[in-house]
Amino acid sequence: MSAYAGVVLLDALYLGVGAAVLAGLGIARTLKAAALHAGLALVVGWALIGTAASLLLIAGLGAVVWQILVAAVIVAGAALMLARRVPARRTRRLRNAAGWQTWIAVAGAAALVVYLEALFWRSRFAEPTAWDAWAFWVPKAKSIVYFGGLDTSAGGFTSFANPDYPPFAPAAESLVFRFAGGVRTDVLPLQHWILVAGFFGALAVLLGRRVPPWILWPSLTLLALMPGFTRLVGSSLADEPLAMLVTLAGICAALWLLEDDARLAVLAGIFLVAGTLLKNEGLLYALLIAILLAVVARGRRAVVPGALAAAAVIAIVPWKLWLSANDVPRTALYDPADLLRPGYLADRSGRLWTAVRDVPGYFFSWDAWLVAVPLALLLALALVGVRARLSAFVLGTIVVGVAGNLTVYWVSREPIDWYISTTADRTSATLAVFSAAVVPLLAAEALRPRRMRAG
Amino acid sequence: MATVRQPALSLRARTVSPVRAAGVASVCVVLAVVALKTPQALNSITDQARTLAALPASQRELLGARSADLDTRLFVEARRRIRLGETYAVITGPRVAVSIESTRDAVAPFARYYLLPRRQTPEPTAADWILSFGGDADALGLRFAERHVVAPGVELARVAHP
Repeated sequence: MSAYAGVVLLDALYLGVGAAVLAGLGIARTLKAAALHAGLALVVGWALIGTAASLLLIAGLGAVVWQILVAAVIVAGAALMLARRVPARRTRRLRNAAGWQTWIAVAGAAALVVYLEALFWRSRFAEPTAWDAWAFWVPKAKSIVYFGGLDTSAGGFTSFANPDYPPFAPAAESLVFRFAGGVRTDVLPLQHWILVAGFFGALAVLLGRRVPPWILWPSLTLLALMPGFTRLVGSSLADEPLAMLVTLAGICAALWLLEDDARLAVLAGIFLVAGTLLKNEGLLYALLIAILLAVVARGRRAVVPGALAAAAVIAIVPWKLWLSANDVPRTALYDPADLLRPGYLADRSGRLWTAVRDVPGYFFSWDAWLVAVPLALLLALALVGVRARLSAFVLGTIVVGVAGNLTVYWVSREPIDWYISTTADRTSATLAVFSAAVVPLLAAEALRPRRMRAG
Repeated sequence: MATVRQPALSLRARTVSPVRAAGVASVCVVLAVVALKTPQALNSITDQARTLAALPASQRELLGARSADLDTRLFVEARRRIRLGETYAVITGPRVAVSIESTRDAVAPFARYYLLPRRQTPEPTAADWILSFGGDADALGLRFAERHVVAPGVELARVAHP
């Protein structure tokens, strides 16, 4: 069997698990609905199987193929059992008006397809070339396969840079190697491309509930065209999946605010748990989204934000225990505990000013993120009076996210100029991709007649 | 599950509110940027794909090292000579001129990436092989069974264990 056939099998597994979960939640229970939700199913399956693989590794197993198949059967079986209790709910889709709106939608979708096709060919011949990818993300994945799990001896999982980063990304990459039948780094960019295609499919079906095609497809094309996003596709840097997971979670959370559909909160939870197990920042984004939901949806459903925060915290506990049991040192880049030391912070106030001066430019960079962040901010501000909760959620996510980013540079022990210049183009990715994805939702809400504004 | 199609959003309104104006303006900006950027981005990606496709697979695997301006012959030679169960250590030093400061820092991590499942050890005395990129292998106080000079200042040495 060729390596590429193995990759297709892995993605079929993700698709199957995700489709079972969507059926269980009552989101897609017919063949037609399942086809429409294929992209969402793929990324949901990837998030769940990646989470399961991470937990298997933490438990001391190797996350080998048969263990992953058993985990997939358990997750899919549990989801299908859920289908007996959870009723199906109707999914709404907005249609185009005839004429020019249809032409804009078709042109936007065609541009996206053509661009994704070009990215496919680049991914087909690419290899991970980014420093962090070959310095620790991909070698960690290789070591999982070669040494049968999270090996703590010389040359093993913990011997690479940032050994305390959670294991989702290396675990998911190791599954690609296992299904490909060998450690072949040349198949990784293609697998990332498949997930990116699923990401756009997921955004299309989620946003299509409230965004008409003539706004949706050009906006998704804008997201794909962002040079910073294009650079990340197939890079094997964890910033790529983190941006996708947090964006999907953020969009589900925003839609939950508008529609009060608990199924969207469950999807947000799945993505946030995966993000938490992907990178240290993932937990911070999960808590940020949960806290913002609690604040803006106060008086409605306190249980959903609480459950999202609890899921993320519970998900990271096994990893923290594993780190402690194996005496793995924390990253030397920064220590959140330093935030509680006023003297330390005061001594480093110069770093904060440097960060405030230099970092926001990365978020507003045309060369990296085009107009995504300013457009999202402008639209969110415009909607303050008519969509207060959505507006507050989007503004809060961007503003607090940027503030968190500045804080990391403030408390970090790395030389500030070097640290910003080598990381800010990537650490800005998550909020920039979220901004680009939320633009069509905000634009559609701005154009929605008053009689249609009720969820 | 049934799909319910909702009516389309109409741009026709008796009054133009600031909110709707912001919505219309933002969609116009999106369309303009997409129209402006698509041809340029497509050309760029197609060129990248063409360049990558023209390289042999063995060269593509070394692109990460090339981006750090590393002499990749050391890694290719090490993969050829070091057996899968053997260990190695990396030493670096000033005996090789480098164009960027980070080149020496890249040697050990790229060796880990490229040479797995051969294990890298931080302690040269515990290693079966030494990969030297501008380092002084003689200063380690080890006896060597083989030495292979890959390039001036770049060598691979097999440690003679007692």
